[in-house]
Amino acid sequence: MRRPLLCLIVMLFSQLIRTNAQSQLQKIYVHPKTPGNEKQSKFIDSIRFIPLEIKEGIELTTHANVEVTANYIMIRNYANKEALLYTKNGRFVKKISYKKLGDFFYPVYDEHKDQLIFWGNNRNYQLTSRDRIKVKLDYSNPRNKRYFKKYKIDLKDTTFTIKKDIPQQNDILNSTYYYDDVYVMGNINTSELYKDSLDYELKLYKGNQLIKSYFPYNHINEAKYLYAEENITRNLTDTPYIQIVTRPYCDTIYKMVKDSLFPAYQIVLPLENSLPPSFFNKPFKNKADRENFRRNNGWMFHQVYMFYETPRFIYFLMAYQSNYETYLYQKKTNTICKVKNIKPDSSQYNLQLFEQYGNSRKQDKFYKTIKAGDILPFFEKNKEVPVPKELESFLKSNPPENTPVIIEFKLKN
Amino acid sequence: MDAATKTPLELATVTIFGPDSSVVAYKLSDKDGIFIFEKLPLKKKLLVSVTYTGYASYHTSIQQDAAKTDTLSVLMMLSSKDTVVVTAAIPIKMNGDTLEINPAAFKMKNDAVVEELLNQVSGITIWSDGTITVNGKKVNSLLVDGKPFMGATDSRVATQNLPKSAIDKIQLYQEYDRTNINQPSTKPQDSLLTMNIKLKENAKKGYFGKAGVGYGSQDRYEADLSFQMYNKRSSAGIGGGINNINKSIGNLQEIFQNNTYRNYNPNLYNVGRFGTNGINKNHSIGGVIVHNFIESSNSRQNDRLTLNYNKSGTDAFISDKSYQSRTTIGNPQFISEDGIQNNLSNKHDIGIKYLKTNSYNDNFDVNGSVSTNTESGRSDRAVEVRDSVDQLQSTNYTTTLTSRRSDNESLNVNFSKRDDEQPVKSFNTRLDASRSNSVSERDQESEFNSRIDPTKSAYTNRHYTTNNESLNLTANFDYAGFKRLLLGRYNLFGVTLSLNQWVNYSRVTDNTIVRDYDTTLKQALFNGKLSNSNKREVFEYTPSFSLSKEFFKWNDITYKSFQIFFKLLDDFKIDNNTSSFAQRNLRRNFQFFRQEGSLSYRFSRREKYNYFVYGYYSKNLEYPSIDRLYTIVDDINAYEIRYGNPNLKNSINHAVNFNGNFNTENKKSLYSINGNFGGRYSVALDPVTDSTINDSSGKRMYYYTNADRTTNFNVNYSFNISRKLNKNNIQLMYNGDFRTGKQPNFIDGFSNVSTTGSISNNFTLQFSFKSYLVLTAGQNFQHNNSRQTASGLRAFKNDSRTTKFGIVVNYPSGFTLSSTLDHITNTSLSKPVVLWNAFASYRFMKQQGELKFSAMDLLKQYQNISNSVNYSGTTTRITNGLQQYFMLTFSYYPRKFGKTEIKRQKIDRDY
Repeated sequence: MRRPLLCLIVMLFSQLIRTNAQSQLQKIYVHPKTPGNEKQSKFIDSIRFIPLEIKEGIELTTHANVEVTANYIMIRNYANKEALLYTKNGRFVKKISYKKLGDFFYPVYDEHKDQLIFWGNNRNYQLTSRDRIKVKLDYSNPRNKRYFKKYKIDLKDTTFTIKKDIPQQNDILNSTYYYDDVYVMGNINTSELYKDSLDYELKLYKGNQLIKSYFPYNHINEAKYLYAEENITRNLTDTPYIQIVTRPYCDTIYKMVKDSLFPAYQIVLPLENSLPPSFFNKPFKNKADRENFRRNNGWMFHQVYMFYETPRFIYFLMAYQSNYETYLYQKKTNTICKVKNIKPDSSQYNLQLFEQYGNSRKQDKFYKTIKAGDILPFFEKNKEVPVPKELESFLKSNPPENTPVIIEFKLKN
Repeated sequence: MDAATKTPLELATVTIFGPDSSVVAYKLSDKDGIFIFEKLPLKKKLLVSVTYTGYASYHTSIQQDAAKTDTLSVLMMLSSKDTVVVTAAIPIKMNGDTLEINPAAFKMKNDAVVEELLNQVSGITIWSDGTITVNGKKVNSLLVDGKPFMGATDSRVATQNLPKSAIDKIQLYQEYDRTNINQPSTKPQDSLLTMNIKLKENAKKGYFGKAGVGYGSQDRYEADLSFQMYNKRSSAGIGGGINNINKSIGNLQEIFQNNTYRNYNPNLYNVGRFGTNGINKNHSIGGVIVHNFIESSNSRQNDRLTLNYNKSGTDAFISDKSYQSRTTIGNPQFISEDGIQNNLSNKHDIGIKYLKTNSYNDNFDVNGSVSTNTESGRSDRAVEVRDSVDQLQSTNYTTTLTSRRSDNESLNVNFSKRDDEQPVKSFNTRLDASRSNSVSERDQESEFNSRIDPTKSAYTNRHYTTNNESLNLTANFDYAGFKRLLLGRYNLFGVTLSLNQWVNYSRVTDNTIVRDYDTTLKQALFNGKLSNSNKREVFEYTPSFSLSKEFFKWNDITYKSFQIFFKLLDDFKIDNNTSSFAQRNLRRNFQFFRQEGSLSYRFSRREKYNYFVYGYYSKNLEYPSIDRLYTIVDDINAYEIRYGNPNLKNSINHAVNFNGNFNTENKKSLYSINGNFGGRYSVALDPVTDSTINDSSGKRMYYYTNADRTTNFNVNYSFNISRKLNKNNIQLMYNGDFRTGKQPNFIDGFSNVSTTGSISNNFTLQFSFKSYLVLTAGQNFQHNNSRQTASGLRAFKNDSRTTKFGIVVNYPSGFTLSSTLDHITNTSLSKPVVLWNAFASYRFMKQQGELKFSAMDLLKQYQNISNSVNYSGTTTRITNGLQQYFMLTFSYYPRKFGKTEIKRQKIDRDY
């Protein structure tokens, strides 16, 4: 009796917050058909090239991205299964090959511990999503650790050795560090394996103790989450302890300050892109039905992923049912633009800096990798354009075409 | 460049239109805003249009009078309008993983069909055999609004009928191949390159077709009918044809395919067939209804019922003369045969097909068919056998009257399901049931005269009444969840396990009553040596267990995959034969343990090329049938009297099948190249072969016996290359096959090994100049040979070569002139034969009426001659056939797509 009552109180409270807050929400109108076309120099400045030390055998592949760690810049060369470490001024440090770990492992940076973590399934086992739920329900059972493999590289250790690590409960439960000793869990799924029908989309733990939970849903048969694996997403802001939180199938974007949550923005979509009421209250019969809905309604809203705000712009990646689009919202004019329609010009070396599926970001700086061959012809053809200082010696050294170069830039203030 | 900042604009669409507003060429500007066009037409006023989203469009006209390089600088102003509407349609663009072609960007004549549009798109090649490739990759599946158009499997029904004006867009994407459900990948691609034609909203309902009738000299006639209509959920079609020009009509799908609207490159060989034996009056008529119970525009979800009915028949008259050189030990025979045949057949087919799928992980289909067939015929043959000094050895005259009535019913049910959540529930099942019943009557009168041993001469007048009933039931259950059931979550190093159960029951019942007419008693007497009843029941059960494992490696540039597959099978067979002849009552049990296995390798270099090679080894054991052990000996044909051999052994067959393919995938290349090969090498141990005895009387007896081993090898191969030359296209297609085999046998008691070989090569070169001219040239070369090891037996060989030329001229508008010329040489012909056909057609009545004049065999030279070789010798056959005729045909093409006239629309395509 106590639990349903508690549940009711939480729901009413959250509804109250929602009703009050929504009236003050900043609305972002998104029209997926918007043909808006803009010049890149209108949005971007502070471009800085980070030419990387030329090393034989180091080439940038098509599927690569960049991440800035505490002391290094790391390029993940997915196709070659290697991580390239450079100092922040571009000096080569180490090429870490993780081919031996197999096809499904790649490094994820753990900022809290300054480690690269390789996490994945033990390929000696094949787990279905039911198996995964069973394993999570019995996460403390040491036998369940065998289904996973974990490796780490301690970036503070300059040998950068890949070491085998023991999967921990946090890894199995997919809970991630937030601040101090607070961890967050944001996995959402449904199954009849759960005994308790009440669960929350966002849960904050201190040790093993649940300190806050938001957004209750039916853990067994919530219509919108049936036959799906969803996640809350968290985006870092420039301010410590403040993160942007987005939820699946929810047009409200929240700001999380430590363990408190406030609605901050609301995405407004045309009716044709909005989810019908039946999606929320009429359950899919099976996984195939859900998949068919997703495929047949490719441009219906799913979730906002990346989200970053500056005084003038909001940069965000929006997932539709089966499409993705990254947008820039201009606060002053209340207009929105797809980043793929933002065209570079010669004042920015004709370099397309925005990536269609989002750029890497560290605080207020965005990063993109290019090949030396992408920039060399520009300076050869446009002799009158001064070569940026940081590139001068690099270009003179006649770098091989596929040598990586990192570009750092900011959104205009 | 941006007029204000003078900065380059990348990806501006630059389109050059001809004076008739057709797209001459299009390009996207590069990073520096530069665009280059080469080889633009001279002395023509061209319109240059430059569009860039957000900017006002730029238009200017240019005219080049001499070959030179000219420069055009374009400064573009930002549009002053708040709302920007894209008015210039982009011809081709990527939308996610889908390549989209926008028909509105291609200005073409009003009646142009989809195929003509595809010909204009860079990277797409329409091969002369109708195959479509996109950047070298073959389009495996063509859909209209996500469904097979009119339920057809041949893409040409859509591409050669649907007008470009009815198309919203054409999409190209990879789609999961549903036939691979639960199957380890053994194919070059697990996905199919699919072309989906999206109809405009107002063109989702329409009809089209053709009705044609022609009459010509020598009372030649032909008529074709094809009419199809469709809406969002249903489609229906009727089709038929009748002719006496040996023109193949085929089934309903072939009727639809052969009567499409396209006329710029007509099928010049879909005419009266001069190579066909005899004069055949063919007719066929039928209808099909396809109904989709759900209105989906994708191919994952299907709920479709297809019903069809077809009635077809042939009235054939064939007179033939053949000459055979036959090798025997020390006494080669020269056999001449004269024959006249008149055959009449009528067939009714009813088919029902239901398909239900809800995802790529499930499949349920049911196929049912019922057919009835009646055949009757009369054949008169006279055979003369002479020796090497032209002395007559024997003659045989036969007259045969046959009539046969049969009905066949079949039902196939497939149900496949893959469940990634609950792998133990993954399986494929297939059930096949078929039944047939036939009643036949045959009267055969045979008169054999031996000039060497007149006592062996014989006259027989025999009547056969045969009732045959057969039933076949097969069930196959493939359990893909076996690994999960056996090993739980354990992955066994990624090895896939599958358990298969195959069960078959067949029953064949024959009742044959034979009566011989006694010329003395003047009555038909019961023949107890031939009359018999026989029932054969075979029960087969084969459990099998297979393992497969795929290894793959990929990086930025290449993808490599290697797959190994191994299967163990155990065949259990019970063969029970009951007969009115005591020695044929035989019950046999067999058990064969055998293995199969395959290796495949695939290599792909991104946007360059890919190739695939595959080899499959299989072993099976074969036991001799009752008809070979205890043959019922019928001597009515003195030249083929067969005897059984109760001592025949089981034979073991080893076979290796192999195939491979290669194709380029270079978007930037003007060339598209593909090739493939396939073949089989087989060895049979203790195979059943013939021991032939040429009796001194002239009779020929065949005894079954086991030989040591036979080997056979065949390989077929093809190579195709196409090059785009602006809007023109040149393509070379080559294919061929090579066969060789060693067949041991016994001739007149001597052991012999016959080595036979054949090689066939076909070249076709086609050049198309826009839609105005299509030129084809080709050559077919065939060589056959046969060698014997026994001394006293002869070796044989023969050759034939056909050189073909074709031309189609589509000028002036509405007129089509075409012609084919075949130059045929043959070792049996004293001089080459030339078959020259010419056609002229004119389309009028708003391009819906067509008048066509055909002049066939203008030189009146054609002769129907064919050669063949086997281990016993060579045969040259001459038959009657078509002779020169002229024909005038009128065809009407009813066509309507949508309720109202379809107009070009400006489309905002920046979604």
